[in-house]
Amino acid sequence: MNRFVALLKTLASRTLAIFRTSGAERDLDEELQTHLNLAIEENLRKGMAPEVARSAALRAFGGVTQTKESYRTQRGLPFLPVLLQDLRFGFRQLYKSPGFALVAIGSLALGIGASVAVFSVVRAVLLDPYPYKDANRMVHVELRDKSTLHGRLLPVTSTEFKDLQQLAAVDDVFLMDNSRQALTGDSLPISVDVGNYSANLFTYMGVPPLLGREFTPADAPGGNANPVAVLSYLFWKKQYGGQPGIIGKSIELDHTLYTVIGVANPRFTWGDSDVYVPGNFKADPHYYMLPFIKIKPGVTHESLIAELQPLVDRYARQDPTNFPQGTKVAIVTLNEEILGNFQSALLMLFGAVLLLLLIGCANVSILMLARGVARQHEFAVRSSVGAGRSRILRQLLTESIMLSMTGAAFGVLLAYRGVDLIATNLPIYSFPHEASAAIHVNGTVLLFAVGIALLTGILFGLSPAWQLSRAEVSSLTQSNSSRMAGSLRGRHTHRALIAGQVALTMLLLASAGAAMRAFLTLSKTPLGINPDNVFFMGLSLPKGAPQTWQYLANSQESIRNAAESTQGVESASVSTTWLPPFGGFRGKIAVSSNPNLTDAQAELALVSPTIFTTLQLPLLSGRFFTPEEDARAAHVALVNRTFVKRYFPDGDPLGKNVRSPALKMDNPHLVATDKPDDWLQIIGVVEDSRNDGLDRPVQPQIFFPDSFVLDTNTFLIVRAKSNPAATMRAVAQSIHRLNPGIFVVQQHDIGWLLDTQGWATERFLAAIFALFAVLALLLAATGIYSVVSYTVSQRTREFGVRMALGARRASVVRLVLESSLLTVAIGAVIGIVLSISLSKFIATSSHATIRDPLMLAGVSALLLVVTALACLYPTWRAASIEPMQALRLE
Amino acid sequence: MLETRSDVLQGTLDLMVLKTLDVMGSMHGYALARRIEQISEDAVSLNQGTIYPALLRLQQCGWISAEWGVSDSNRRAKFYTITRSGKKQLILETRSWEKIAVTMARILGSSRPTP
Repeated sequence: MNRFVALLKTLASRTLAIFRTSGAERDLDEELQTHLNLAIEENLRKGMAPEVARSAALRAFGGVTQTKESYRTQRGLPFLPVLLQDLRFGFRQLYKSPGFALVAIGSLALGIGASVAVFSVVRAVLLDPYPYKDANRMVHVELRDKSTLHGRLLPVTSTEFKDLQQLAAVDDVFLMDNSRQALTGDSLPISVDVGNYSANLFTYMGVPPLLGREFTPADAPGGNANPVAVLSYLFWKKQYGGQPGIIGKSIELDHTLYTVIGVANPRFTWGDSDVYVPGNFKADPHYYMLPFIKIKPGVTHESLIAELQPLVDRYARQDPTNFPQGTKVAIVTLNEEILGNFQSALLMLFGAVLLLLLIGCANVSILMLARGVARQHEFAVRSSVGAGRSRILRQLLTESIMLSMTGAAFGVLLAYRGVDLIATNLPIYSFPHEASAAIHVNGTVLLFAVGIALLTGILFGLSPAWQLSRAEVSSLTQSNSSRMAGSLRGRHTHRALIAGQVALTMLLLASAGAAMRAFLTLSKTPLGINPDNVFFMGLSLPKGAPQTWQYLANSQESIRNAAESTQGVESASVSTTWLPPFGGFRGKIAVSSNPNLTDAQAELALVSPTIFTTLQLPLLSGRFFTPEEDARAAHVALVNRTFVKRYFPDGDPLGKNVRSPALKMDNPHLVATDKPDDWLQIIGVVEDSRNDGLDRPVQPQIFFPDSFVLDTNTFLIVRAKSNPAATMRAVAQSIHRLNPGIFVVQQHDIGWLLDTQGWATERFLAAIFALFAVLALLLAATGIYSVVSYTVSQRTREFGVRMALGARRASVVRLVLESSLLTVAIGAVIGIVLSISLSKFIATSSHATIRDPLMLAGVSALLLVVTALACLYPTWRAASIEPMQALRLE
Repeated sequence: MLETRSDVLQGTLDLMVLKTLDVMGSMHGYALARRIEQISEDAVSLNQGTIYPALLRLQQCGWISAEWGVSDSNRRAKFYTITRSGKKQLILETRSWEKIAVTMARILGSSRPTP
C-alpha cells in the first residue's frame, strides 16, 4: 500500500517537474558543486595536495555529466521532450514536401472521414437506436402462417389485452391504436397522426419529456375528466414553431378538446405519432389494436412463445377468418422488425468503408516507402552517431502517427458533412426513427476516429519504419546508387501494395456494380399498370355521418365523381383495399367448380369499375362491371391472370362462380351489402399487376364492386392528365366544395410510394457504393501514379542509356507499362476471385448478384482503363526527356 | 566477501539511505555518501554521484524531504530528512530483508558442511 501511494506521488512529481526545469537545473548544479567542494575540503584535510585533492574528489564522485543525465531522467517524464522533438522534426519534413503531404493527408482524410461518417450512422442505427428503457426486452409479436412469407403483428381487443397482462413472462405491455384525425382550430384543418395508447405508455418507455410532463395511468379517461395530450417533438416544431407556450393550451382533434401537457423527447418517435393520447379503449370484440410486450428480465423468447401460442390458438378458434389455420407465434426484436435486411446492408457498408480506408493507407505506405529511400542517407547518419534501431523506429512511427492524426482531423471535418448527407438519404422506412436525432458525430464517434487514426498510423508506418531502421552505414558512401535501380525489396513491397489496392478496388467496384444492377432491375420491374401521373388520396367523412349502406354508397360515388370531374383529371376510381404495387386485403376464397379447394387465398380488391382505365390495366377477356352494377352491389367480379392459372388451369373462368367468406365481416364500423360472402359470377379476366410488393410474385386477385363493403373512409386513385401535384390540389378543392366536412387524410403520388417503399434501400445502397467505388478508384489511381512516377524517376538514367543506344521511345514506355500493368492485372484477378467467393456475404439484395459476368467484365474494363491512364502519363513524360539530359542526371 | 566496486542495486541503496537518515537525522548529500562508504567498511564503494538520483527518487516517493541549509563549513547545501512514511517504508523493507536472511541461513545451514 505504501508502495502504491509512493508510485502515485512519483508520477505526480514527475509530471509537475516538466513545468519547472530551469530552477531545478540551478539547484542541481549548486548541490553537486557543494558536494565536490566538501570532498575537496576533506581530501585537503587528509593532507593531499590541492590538485590531487581535486582529482581524487572527482574520481570518487564518478561522472558528473552522467549523474546529471540520470538525475534528469529520474526527474521528468523522459519520453515527452523526445516526443516533442520528433514531432517538430516530422512537421518540418512535411512542410518541405507539400506534394507528399497533400496526397498522404488527403488519402487518409478521405478514408478516415468516410469510416467515421459510416460509423456514426451504424452506431446510431444499430448499436443504440432506442432511448427507451430496457429496449432490449421489448418485442414484437408476429403471426406467421404458411400462406404468407412474412408475418403480421398480433392484433388484440381490449379484453384480450388483459389476457396478455396476466402472462408470467410479461413484465409490462401497452396498447397502440393509430388513427388520423383532423386538427381543427383557427386555421384550415390538417390531418395528424393521433396515437391512442394505454395510459402506461410513458412509464413503460421511461424517457423523460422535453417539456412539461407525460401522461400516467392517473390521466386515463374515466379517471381524469379533462382529456390530455402529449405532442411529439417533430410535430411540436413543425406545427407550433417550437414555442413552449403551447403547454397548458387546448387543441382540438376531431372536435374533441385536449389539453397539451407536454412535449416528448426528440428521440421519442414511437409509432411516428404526432400526438400521444391516453386511450379510451372500448370493450369492443371487433376493435383491434396492437400490443407491445416487454418481457421480464431473464425470460427467453421461447418461454414467451410457449405462453402466447395457446392464447393465439384460442383466438384462432374463435375467429378463423382473421387467424388462418396453423398460425404460429414468433417473437421479433425491435431491430429485427424494423431493420430487417437493412441491418446487414449497413454492416456491409461499414465493411466497404473500411476497405476504402485500407486503400488509402496503402497509398500512404507507398508514398512513405518512396520517400524513405530518399531519406536513407539521413538514417545512415543517424545510426552512425548512435541512434539505436528502436530510436529510429520510434521516430518514424511518431511521424506516421502524426500524419494519420492530421488526416483524421481533416477526415472528421469531412465526416460532419458526410454524416448529414447520409442521414438525409437513408431509406425512410428501413430504420428506427428514434435514431434520426442521434445520427451525428459525437464523443463515441470521435473516440473511434482517434482509435482508427492510431491503428492506421501504425499500420502504414510499421513496414517502412522497419525497413528503413535497418539502414546501413555503407550507403553513406554510395549516394549515387539510387539512380540505377530501386532496391529489390522495395520493388516487391510496391508491387504487393499496388496489387492489394487494385484487388480491394475491384471488390468495391463489383459490389457497386451489383448494387446498381439491383436498383435498376427493381426500378424497371413491370408493374402491370401505368403509374405515371397517378396519385392516391385517403379521405375521411365527417363524424356523425349516417352509417347506412345507401348513404355511404352514394357518398362514395359522389366523391369519386367530384374528383373525376375536376379540371385536369383523366379518370378517378375508388380502391378501398388495393394500392398498387402493394397488397391490402388477403382472404380465403372458394371456387364453385372446385369444391375440394381448401385454404385457397386471394387478394381481394374493392374497386370502382373505372379502376381499370385509371390504372390502364388491360382486359384480357370478358367485360368490366358497369356503374349500375356497382350502384346495386351486383354479385359480379373480375379476376387476374394468375387467378385463372391457379384455380382454372384448364377451363374458361368466365361464367364460373367464386366467393370469399372474408367479406363477411362482423365489424360494426364497416357496412356491407346483403350477403357479401355469397357467390359472385366471374365476368372478366384482367392482366396481372403487382399486388404483393415489387419483389414478390403476383398473387391471385379478385376485383369486386367497391360498394360491397363501405365505411366512413374513402380511398381514391386518380390519374391526372399531367402535373399530378397541381391536380391533387384541384381535386382536394373539388371535394371540399362538395362537402367541407370531408378532410384529406393523406395524398401522395404513386411515384413517391415506389421511391420510399419500393426501392428506397436499393437506391441508397447503389448510390453510396458507387461513391465509394469512385473514391477507391481515385485513390488506387493515385497510388499507381505515385509508384510508376517513382519507379520511372529511379530508372531515368537507364532510359537515357537505352535511348542513346537506339531504343525507341515507345519501347521504353512499353517496358515500364508491362510490369505495372502485370501487377494491376494480378490485383484485378485477385479482386474478382475475392468478389465471387464473398458474393454470399455481399448480397445486398436478391435482385442482382456479384456473379454477373457482364457486370464484372464492365467494371474490370473501367478499372483497367483508369489504371492504364495512371501508368501512362508519368511513363510517357519520362520517356520524353532527351537521352543526353537523362544521362547527365545525378 | 563482497568484491570491491560492486554494483549496488537501486533498492538496496534506497534502504541504506533511509536507514542512515533514520539513525543520523538530517544530512546533506556528501555526508550521506561518505557515511554509507564508512559504515559498509568500504566494502561497497559506489560512485558518489549515484546517490543524487536515489535521493531524488526517495523524495518523489515522499519518503524523505529536502531543505536548503548551511553545512559545518558554512557552505550552502541541501539537507535531507526521513519522513514518517519513510520510516514506515524502512520498517517494511527491514522486515523483508530479515525474512530473506533467515530463509537463506536456513537453506545454507541445513546442508551438511563439506569435508
